[in-house]
Amino acid sequence: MIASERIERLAPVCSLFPELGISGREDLCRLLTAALGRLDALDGFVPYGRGWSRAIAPQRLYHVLAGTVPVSGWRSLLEGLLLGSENLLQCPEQQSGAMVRFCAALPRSFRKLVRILPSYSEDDFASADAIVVFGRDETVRLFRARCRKDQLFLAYGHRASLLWLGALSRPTTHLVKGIIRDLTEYDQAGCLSPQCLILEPEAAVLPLAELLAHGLAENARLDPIPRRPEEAAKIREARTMARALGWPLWEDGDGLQWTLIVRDLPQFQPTCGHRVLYLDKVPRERLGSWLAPLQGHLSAVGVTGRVPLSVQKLFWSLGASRCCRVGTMQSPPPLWHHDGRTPLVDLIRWVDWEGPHPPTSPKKSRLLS
Amino acid sequence: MAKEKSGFPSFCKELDRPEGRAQWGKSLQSLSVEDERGFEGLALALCRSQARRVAPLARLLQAEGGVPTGWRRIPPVPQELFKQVRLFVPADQAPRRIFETSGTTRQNPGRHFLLDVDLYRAVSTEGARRAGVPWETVDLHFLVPSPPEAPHSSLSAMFGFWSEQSVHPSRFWIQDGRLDQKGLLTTLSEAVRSGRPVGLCGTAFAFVPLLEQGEGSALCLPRGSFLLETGGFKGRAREMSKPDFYRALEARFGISAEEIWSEYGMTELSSQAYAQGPDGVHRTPPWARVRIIDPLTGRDCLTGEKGLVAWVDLANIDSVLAIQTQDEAIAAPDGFRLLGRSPTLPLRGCSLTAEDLRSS
Repeated sequence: MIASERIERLAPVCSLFPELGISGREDLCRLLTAALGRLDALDGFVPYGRGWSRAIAPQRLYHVLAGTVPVSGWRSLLEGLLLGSENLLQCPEQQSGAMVRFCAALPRSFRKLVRILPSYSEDDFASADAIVVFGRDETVRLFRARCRKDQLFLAYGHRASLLWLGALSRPTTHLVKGIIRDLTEYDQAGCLSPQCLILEPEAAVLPLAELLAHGLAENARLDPIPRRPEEAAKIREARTMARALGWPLWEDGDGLQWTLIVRDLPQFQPTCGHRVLYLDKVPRERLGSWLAPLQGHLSAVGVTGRVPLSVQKLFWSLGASRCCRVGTMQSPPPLWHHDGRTPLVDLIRWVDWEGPHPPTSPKKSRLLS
Repeated sequence: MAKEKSGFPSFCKELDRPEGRAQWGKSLQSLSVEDERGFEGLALALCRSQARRVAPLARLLQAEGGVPTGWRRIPPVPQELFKQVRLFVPADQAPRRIFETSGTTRQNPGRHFLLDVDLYRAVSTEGARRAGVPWETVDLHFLVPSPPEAPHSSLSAMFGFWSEQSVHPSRFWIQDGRLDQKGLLTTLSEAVRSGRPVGLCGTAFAFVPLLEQGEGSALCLPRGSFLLETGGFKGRAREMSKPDFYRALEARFGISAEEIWSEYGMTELSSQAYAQGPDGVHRTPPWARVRIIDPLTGRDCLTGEKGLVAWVDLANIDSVLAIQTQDEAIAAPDGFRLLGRSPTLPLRGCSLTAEDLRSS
């Protein structure tokens, strides 16, 4: 099957899973083109400089998926299938249902290229020529150590995202809805979920907090989520800490659906998640030192209005790979440079053919794929 | 002690002085397990006293509507708070001892500031005595560093107190971070030959190399010997269930499971709870109580229900008396069955957590 045929068959699946942020055929074409320069580079030799080149995809990909959100696993599998690779998915129990659902939506010819593994399989891991890992840095280190030198290794370690609203003076309902969308999606468990909302001291912090509290209460009323004891324990701990430290706090009591805390800390600290959002007042001149613990770990930054160049540069220096509008943090575009990398590029190896003509005809290259 | 109008002692100043602390220690030791009223009176008085000087406790009380009428309503301070702020009662005095938490959070440890270890010494020896741990009748071997080598370890300090007060020989077997297995096993073998009972005390994890080295062979410690483990395995690369661990200890040291004690304490506390045998219920001394709180409701669990351990420790006079832990336990009629650290939340995937940040 050549790339264009794979695109045609995968496109309908994308529309069934809008969380992927890939609308269909055109986005898939853009993905491949951005990575390869042209669509047919996986199918045969294409002109390159004074000669010819061909992209080689992994024959077998071993994916180590995160337990928090399904979408990163879906996307990883989709990319593997787009390249024409076989895919072994080490999928945590929490996400196995979502992954089975995704696989069931695939055309039969693709389902044959997918196998879900309930746990680590040494033999399967060894049989793959490329490894993709999502997880904590510790997990990444563990799998990197298990890799052979000839196995391609691609990892997405732990990251944190945040909202930066500067000196916001008039919070609007529209803005608040966006913040709530960013916060509540995946129960704040993904690396694109905002861990805190940073404002400059002159911003209208309390009016914003009150609007957010109102919106979150409404959201919880319409779409409550059940809490597990370990989540409840973390949420209660965060609230008690805030009360003990004298930080202003808004919350929904025993519902444990949402918590807003206006925090006063000398440096960034992560949230426990589960819709516990910290509002941090940080002057611009202190932003660099305040965010220093995030060095190399920053992922997405949700913003509104103009972002001063100095602040932009700071975010880039901390490792941010994405600056986006409030409300869109959980919906990166198809070509998003995840952790700063062009999608698919790191999974591809190139072979050059030097000479005036390519070695095989396009028809022959179809057979090769 | 001076009396306040309410009839309770005026602690603020008294507990800053050695005589006042000694008097308080005597009051604690005169309590009995059944003395609910006595415990309550002292707890509320201590709570009121601490709230005058510990702002976080005062804020929590304010949020709850003031000092409560019952000890169960005293708001427990999260253990995590000891990592964020200095919780220290005595005014105009510097702490003479600081204990620090260990483990994966080393870069940002919880710190327990003590004006003195006098009360800690008194309750950690008397508490073990009352629990029935036979630490005064045997030679003691500690699988922890000595107090001079680990001055910030509350566990080393406690074993140091046992060592000081025991008339029998004792020794600390971890030096420069390494367990002297050879020396320890030689000494234990000698004890076996001479029939001198021993007490082998340490973290559960410190026992593991002894189990691994002696797989298949038993030392058969003399009658009257005991083992005491603490800490469990949570968060360590190697985990073992408690029944498996106790079976392995029985096989390795040739003693019955009932001669194995489990100590449950923590850096932020002064008192400890003890359980005997693999199915033993942890019980606190009369001057400390434990609530098992359902994190979903915030209310006390009924017998048989699982929740999180919250302590009220009347010996914790220099910081706060009530502490909320993240340790899970099942409420029992006369104590609690400790399950260990609450399971970590499901894998955070690539989302950064506090632990990640500290370890990176």
